[in-house]
Amino acid sequence: MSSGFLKNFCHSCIAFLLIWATSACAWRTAEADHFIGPILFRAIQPPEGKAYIWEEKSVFPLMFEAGEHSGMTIGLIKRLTAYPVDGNTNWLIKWCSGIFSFSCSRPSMSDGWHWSLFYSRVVHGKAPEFHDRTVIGTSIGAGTDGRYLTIGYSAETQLRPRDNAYYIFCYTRRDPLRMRFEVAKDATEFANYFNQEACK
Amino acid sequence: MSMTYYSKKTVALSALILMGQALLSGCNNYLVFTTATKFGLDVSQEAGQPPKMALGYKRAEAAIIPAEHKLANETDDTYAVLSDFCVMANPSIYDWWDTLKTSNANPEGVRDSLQIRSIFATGLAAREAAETEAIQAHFARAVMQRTRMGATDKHCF
Repeated sequence: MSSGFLKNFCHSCIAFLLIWATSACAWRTAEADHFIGPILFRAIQPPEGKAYIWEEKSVFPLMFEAGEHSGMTIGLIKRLTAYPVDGNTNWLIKWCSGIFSFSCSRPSMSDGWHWSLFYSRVVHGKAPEFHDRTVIGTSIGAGTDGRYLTIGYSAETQLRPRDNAYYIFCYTRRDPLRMRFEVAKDATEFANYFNQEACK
Repeated sequence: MSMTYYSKKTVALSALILMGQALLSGCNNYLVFTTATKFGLDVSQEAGQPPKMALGYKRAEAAIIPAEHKLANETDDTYAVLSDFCVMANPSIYDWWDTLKTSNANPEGVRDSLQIRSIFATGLAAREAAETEAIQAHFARAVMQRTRMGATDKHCF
């Protein structure tokens, strides 16, 4: 084996490790988000919270996304997504950290941010109806989060409620896990939302 | 295109909507509500609309009803949305810092960069809600209250 081949091989390995260590990939589907590479994650759901919420934050300045939303971000990205509480308790957010791991844990607010270094997935069961996406840097993408190219600072929220439903939605970016996102079962329950304390 | 440099701006928006409007085609939702803060260069495109470009500072709040052009009937009403939206936006340098930090602490005294309070119904649920007396009374009260308050109230809840 020539020394040139070994040198090239070593350089390729170093380049691969550098890219691996400084980037993350997210594969987004309607039921789950898969993460490869270093990323931070946290979530909250009933009964601890008043909505099903999961939030991710990039650690290193390169992130690729594919699946229902595709794109690339050079910089930092923070993405919060949620769907409402509607009386159906079958949906649960689960956190699975191994490719072949069938024993997933149920994240809670008290856990704070989870670190994922190599692979993990968030199983959320159904598609989010709200997202808040913040990017510092350059980002290009298309899909469920819209079609865009941004350079600089960008913070965008989008709420896409389902049809024929009654909603309450209270959101504060300073404390996003306090979000109240609920669907009422009828007009009578909906009328109860109309008081000043509903979002407190 | 919107261009305003370094304008620290607080926007309080309250909208009472009971209307139908066909703004976009090809969207499945009865209602889409968005807020955005951009600083730098932004090129974006929404379904059925031409691409938009903004350079500088841009803030936006929008409630869109992208219904298809079809008449309402007893089982379907893509035009009906009953909503009470309040948005308070106060973009600041803290937003940038908050994206970088990993602690859960929210220091006291730092103003919230975004608050959204919305209570709404879509489709046939909106029609039913509009006929409910308690909800009619709320909207009447809310109109009077917001008129008195104007833009002086800097929070939604």
